[in-house]
Amino acid sequence: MSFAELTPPEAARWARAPGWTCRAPRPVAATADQLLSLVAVLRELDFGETPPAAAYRAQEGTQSPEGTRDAAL
Amino acid sequence: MQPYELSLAAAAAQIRTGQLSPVELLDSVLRRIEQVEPRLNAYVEVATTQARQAAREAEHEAAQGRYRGPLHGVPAALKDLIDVSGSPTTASSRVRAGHRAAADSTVAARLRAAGAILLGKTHTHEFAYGLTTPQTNNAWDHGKVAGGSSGGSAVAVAAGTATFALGTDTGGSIRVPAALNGVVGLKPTYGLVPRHGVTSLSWSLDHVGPITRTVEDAALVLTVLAGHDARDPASSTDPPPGTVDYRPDADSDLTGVRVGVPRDYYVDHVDPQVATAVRRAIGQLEELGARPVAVGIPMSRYFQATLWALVAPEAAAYHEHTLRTVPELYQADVRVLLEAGTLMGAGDYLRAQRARTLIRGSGPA
Repeated sequence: MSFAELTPPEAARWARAPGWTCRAPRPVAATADQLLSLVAVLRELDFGETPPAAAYRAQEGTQSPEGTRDAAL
Repeated sequence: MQPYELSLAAAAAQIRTGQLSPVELLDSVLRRIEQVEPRLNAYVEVATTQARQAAREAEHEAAQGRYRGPLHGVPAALKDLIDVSGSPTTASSRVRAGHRAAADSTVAARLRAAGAILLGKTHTHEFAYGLTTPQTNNAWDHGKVAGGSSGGSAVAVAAGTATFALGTDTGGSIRVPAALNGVVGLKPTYGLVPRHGVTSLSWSLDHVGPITRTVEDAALVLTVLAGHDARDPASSTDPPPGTVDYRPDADSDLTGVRVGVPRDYYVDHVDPQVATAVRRAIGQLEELGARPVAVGIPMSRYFQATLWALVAPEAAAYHEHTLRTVPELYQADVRVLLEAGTLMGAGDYLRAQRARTLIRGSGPA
């Protein structure tokens, strides 16, 4: 679908599908449209075999080379 | 100087040497609350009775030479997303009416074990989903926003109504209110501080961290908070709890430390006064022996998209039940964001999780 074409009635229809009533279809549609436009930039990326970071661990691969002291500003 | 004005490190040191009692410190902070809280509204609730009882116990222990830990007798405020046993965790929302936490969160338990007095719960932008905290006023200029979502914690620390506080940060919620109230806010490395017992905004991006008046204080609190807890699936196993002291060395010599200074993203769209302050700080680091190294931040074009494609669906999923059953209890701005989040697809979410893998693997250039 075109991200720019999410209308209030569509937002209300989508919202009904999972079983709840959208109280403000127009602002929700406008916000959803902004969000979908914003995240569309990720379609530029060539992911290849890249898996999702579903099992993210902070400590993996972040160590500095032995003997160095690093910081970030 | 009044006791409520002391830094955490100074207050803890004075308590340990007997110059200040935990009861004196708490009384000073409570008087400050009486004085300024009516116009700041930083607190959801001040647990005066429990705090006085804890301060008396801390005073009694100190008189006998017993100290629970480095925060002994020092009053702390917690953002009201953080569970404290027996108290409601309101998330500053009507949705949570009647809530009562059954147990301490990991961070509350670690603060208690280190001797801190849990003074009260501070306001958040509803469920941490916003950057203003509209209930609370800025500590310095009441015509300006407090910042958010940890607005209450930052204002309390800046105004002297808590010696230090905890906040949470998903997309700026410690850093923004700390900046807007002139205090220190630290978003620790993801996974370093356990989130068990902390209401989630986005499981992929939530952090808990200190808000303090000095960098030394932030390091002191981080030392207490950091360490593995298996109840948080993202909790890092390295280092084990209590094994790293994050406080700066006494000699402040930074010889041999390389400091990465981003060339892009970080310095885009920055107010000139902020840029000047940052340059001054870099100069001070150089004077202490550090070596600034310009680094590029790869893939910054995709940061905001990745953030929103993770936060919006995860927040919508967390609130799915109450969004269906009691939508009228949410503030309008938060409800609209949550409802819009339900309209994002699995494809958007998975692209963001894959982008996260790429971003993490790219490293500074």
